[in-house]
This record gives sequence, structure tokens and C-alpha cells, in this order.
Amino acid sequence: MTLSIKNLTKSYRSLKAVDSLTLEIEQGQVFGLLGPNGSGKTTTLGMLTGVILPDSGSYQWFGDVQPVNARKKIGTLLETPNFYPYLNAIDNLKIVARIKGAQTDYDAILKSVNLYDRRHARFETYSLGMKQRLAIAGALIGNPEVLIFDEPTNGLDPQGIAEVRQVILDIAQSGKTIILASHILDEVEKICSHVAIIKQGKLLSTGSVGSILNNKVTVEVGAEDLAVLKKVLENCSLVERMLVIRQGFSLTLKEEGSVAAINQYCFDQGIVLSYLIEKQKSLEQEFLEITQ
Amino acid sequence: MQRLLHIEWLKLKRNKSFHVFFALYLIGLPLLFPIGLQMDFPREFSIRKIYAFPDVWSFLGYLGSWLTFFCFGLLSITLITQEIQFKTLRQQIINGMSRTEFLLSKLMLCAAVSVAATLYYVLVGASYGYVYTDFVFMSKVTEQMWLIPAYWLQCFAFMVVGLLLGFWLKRSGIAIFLFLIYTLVIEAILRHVFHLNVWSHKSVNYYPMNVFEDLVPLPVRQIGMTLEERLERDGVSLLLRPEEALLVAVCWILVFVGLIYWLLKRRDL
Repeated sequence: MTLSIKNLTKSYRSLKAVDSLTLEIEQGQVFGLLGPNGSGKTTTLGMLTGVILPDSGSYQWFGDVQPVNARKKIGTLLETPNFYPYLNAIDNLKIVARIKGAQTDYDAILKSVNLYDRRHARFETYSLGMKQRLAIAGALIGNPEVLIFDEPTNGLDPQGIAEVRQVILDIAQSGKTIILASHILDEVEKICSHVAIIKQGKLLSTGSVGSILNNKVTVEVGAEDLAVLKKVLENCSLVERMLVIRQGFSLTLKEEGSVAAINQYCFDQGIVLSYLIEKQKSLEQEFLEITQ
Repeated sequence: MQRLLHIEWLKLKRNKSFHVFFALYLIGLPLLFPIGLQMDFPREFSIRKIYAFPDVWSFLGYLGSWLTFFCFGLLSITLITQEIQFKTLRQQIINGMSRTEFLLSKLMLCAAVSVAATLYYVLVGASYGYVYTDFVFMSKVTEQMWLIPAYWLQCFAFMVVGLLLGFWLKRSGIAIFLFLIYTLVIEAILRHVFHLNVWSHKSVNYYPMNVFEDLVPLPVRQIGMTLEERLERDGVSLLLRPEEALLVAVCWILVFVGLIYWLLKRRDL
């Protein structure tokens, strides 16, 4: 077990930022921590990296490694890139390497994030995208077993977003465990293997991205007479939720529902469907449903 | 230990505040010293004595204590508030430094800067001494040399106070304001207006900044007994004895370091 969190709780005055969060992350997972802004993602990661002190609960990295030693084996980019503005890239990375006690090939690491040409420029002269890439370089120092990225594409332009995502995907390919906090569903869907959805500090749902997606089936249906179809579907026990779309209706089915069952049901009610398609439900829909 | 010092050096060597404050000290100490020539001393007092062994140690030390107060007190406030402002303190903890190690690295930085400041004080003092002493005897040179470790401790103490204020208040402006206003105004009011009226006791001299100042005291004895006698009319000695100042200073430093540690351990970064 790479990380195990038990009942982690943190309050700011009356606000419960993280509410009894329990979670386990296995080695090699690309784990998405998904939630709207202010849902407690950064607070959770802050506690896991030693900067925020939990009110109660506990966490364990790599079994029972001392937190301070565990952090040396974790590369973290929390919120903003934090470096000395008056130092250049190499000096800033040297400080990170000294703290982690790591031998580092600075040239190679700077090339990997495409900053080699600007390695002697002061950090304060960097664009936001470059700062973010230097932070990723900092996180890679010491060849860490786990990488934590908190909203890594926040504020970047489309090219920057694509670059950062590619870097993360490359890291994931190498078999490292990645924890990625994001409020962007698309990002989690594209990058992560597992996901935990949190809202107001509470864990709402967790599992593999596939399992959360495939839990329930979404079917889009249409017929000649939509009014009749609507009446029929409203009485259907297989349908959990129904939305109007251009072609007809989008149905979220209950566990026992299936495309065939819906088709059969409509046919029995005397309706021939002119449009029937099974949709993989996007994480976005799932997310909105779970967090409502 | 060496690892922490090396990390601090990497941060320090290109830090503009460090360059400015250190340059001010380097230039200020030898150049401000001759201002003594313009001071109004009792007639029987020979001005050349200020620059000769052994009194050069105490006069230069007294001037130096003002410079270390301004330059290195403010430097230490600046360095710690920069760590907070740049969020690099937070990042260093994230990267695997413990909070205790962070405090230790800052204390070692203060100690190292104080060593540099003290060595320079010795260099400038020795230079003035050799130029202005007619006959240099080793016994004269070493007579007031206890001031050298006292000078170091004083500089270190000012920097620890700076660390505490900077870490507590987080913003350099407010911390610097409080550092100056407390030392120059508030403590004097506390001591002379309140404390002395309630309890005329020598504990009036135990306030932290006064104790630190007394480590390298105003050289009243060298100027002439009359001044000291005049100031002692309240039945309270103007200055603490050196060993007394040393003991109380160490206690205050321990209290302040303890406070920083306490803040650092219980605060979200």
C-alpha cells in the first residue's frame, strides 16, 4: 500500500474542510482527486505532505515510513510553483536536491521539462508555464516513487496544458504512482486510472475510472411521437433519470436496466423506437449527479 | 548540519537584501567610527583613547551593536518573511525537511552571519587599535577581549528576535516596524514609566532588548564616572554586569527560540 488515509479531518473555524476522509492508494495507480473548487483537495494534500496539521485522523505512506522521510520520496507540486525568485533554475533545483539528499543530473531533468535553454535565467523572469514546468522538474528530483500534482494545469494556456498533461502521462507510463487533484473532469478522465470524488470534504465515491463510468448505463432514445414516448418512459420502472435532448430523451437506467430491456419495454407499450443508442456516461454527468 | 548550512548558503549568496545589509555593515563600521571625534566628551577625556587598545574594543563594539541591530536584525526579519512570502518554507517542508530542521537551519544561518560580523569587528578594531596605539602591548590588546564573544552573542540575539517577529507576523513591514518601535520606544516606556514606578528593582534592566544591548555596553566607565553616577540616582544601576547580562541574555534567547519552535510546530504553513 502506497498511501492509506484513515478518518482524516481538518476544520477551519466552523467549516469542515476535510471530513473524516478514508482512502487507500495502491502503487502504480494514477489517482484522481476530483471535486469542485473548495472541496478540500488542497487541504487533504497539504496534510499528506506535512504542511497542514490534521485535527484528527491519520495517514501512512509506504507502510510505516516516518512522514519526513516519506516526503523525500514524494515529488509534490502543491497549488503554485514555489521557488526563490532571485535564483536561477539550477540553484533552485540544487536546494530541492539538497533537501531530498539526492544526486541529480540537472541538465537532464531540465531538458525533460524543456527548460534547459533558460537554466541560467532567474525564476522571476519565467512565464507561468515555465514556472509550472520547473515545479514539475523539482518534483522529479530524487526519482520519487510518488508524484502529487495539485491543479497542475491551472492558469496555463492550451499549449501549456497539453505540455503538462503529456509530462504527467509520460511519468505515469514509467509506473510511478501519481495523485492528481483537479476540478477538471476531462483532465481526470484523460489521465487517471482511479478516482475519488470529494465534495465539502467528504468522500462521495471512489474506484477505478472505468467502474465509476460503467456503474449505470445511459441510453438515448427517440420516436416519431415524442409526447407518447415521454408518457411511456415516465412510467417505466427501469428509468432513474430522464433528460430532454435533441433526438428525444437521455435516460439514466437503474442497475437492472439495459438497452435491450428498454427497447423491449417500449415495443411492448406499442412504440417503435426510431433512435436508440447506448452512451458511455461521461465522468462529467456522474460528477454532477454525485455532487448534487 | 553541514547540509542545512549549505542549503542556507545557496539561498543567501544571491539574495539582494543580504548584499545590501551586509554592505551597509561593512562600510558603516569603519566609516562611522570616526564620528566619535565630533562627540562632546568631558574635557579630561582623551579622544585618541577611543581608537587605542584596549578601549577600541568597547567603543567600536558599542557602535557595532547599533549596526548589527539595524543591519542583521532587519536582515533576519527579511530572510524569514521572504521564506513565508515566496512559500518556500512550505515547499521545503513538502520536499522533506522537518520543521525542526528548518528552525535549526535558520539558527545556524544567524550564528554564521554573526560569526562573520564579529570577525569583521575584530578586524576593524585591531586595525584602528594598531594605528592609534603608541605602544602596542599584548596585554593591552587582550584586556577587553571578552567583548568579542559578547559581540557575537549580541548579534545572534538580535537576529533571533528578528526571526521570532518575522515568523510570528509573517510580513516584513509590520515585523520591522515592531522590531524598531519596541526596541527604541516601547521597552523604554515599559521600563522607566511603568516598571520603575511600581517596583524600583534592578529587574527593570532585565527586559530583553536592554539585556542584549548591555552585552556590549555603552562604555560609560571609560568616558568618566560622573555620567554613570548621574544616571544611577534612582538607585538602579544603568548597566548590568557583563556576566549577569550574559546569563539573562542566554535565557531570553532560549525563550525566543522556544517560542519560534512552538509557533512552527503548531502552525499550518
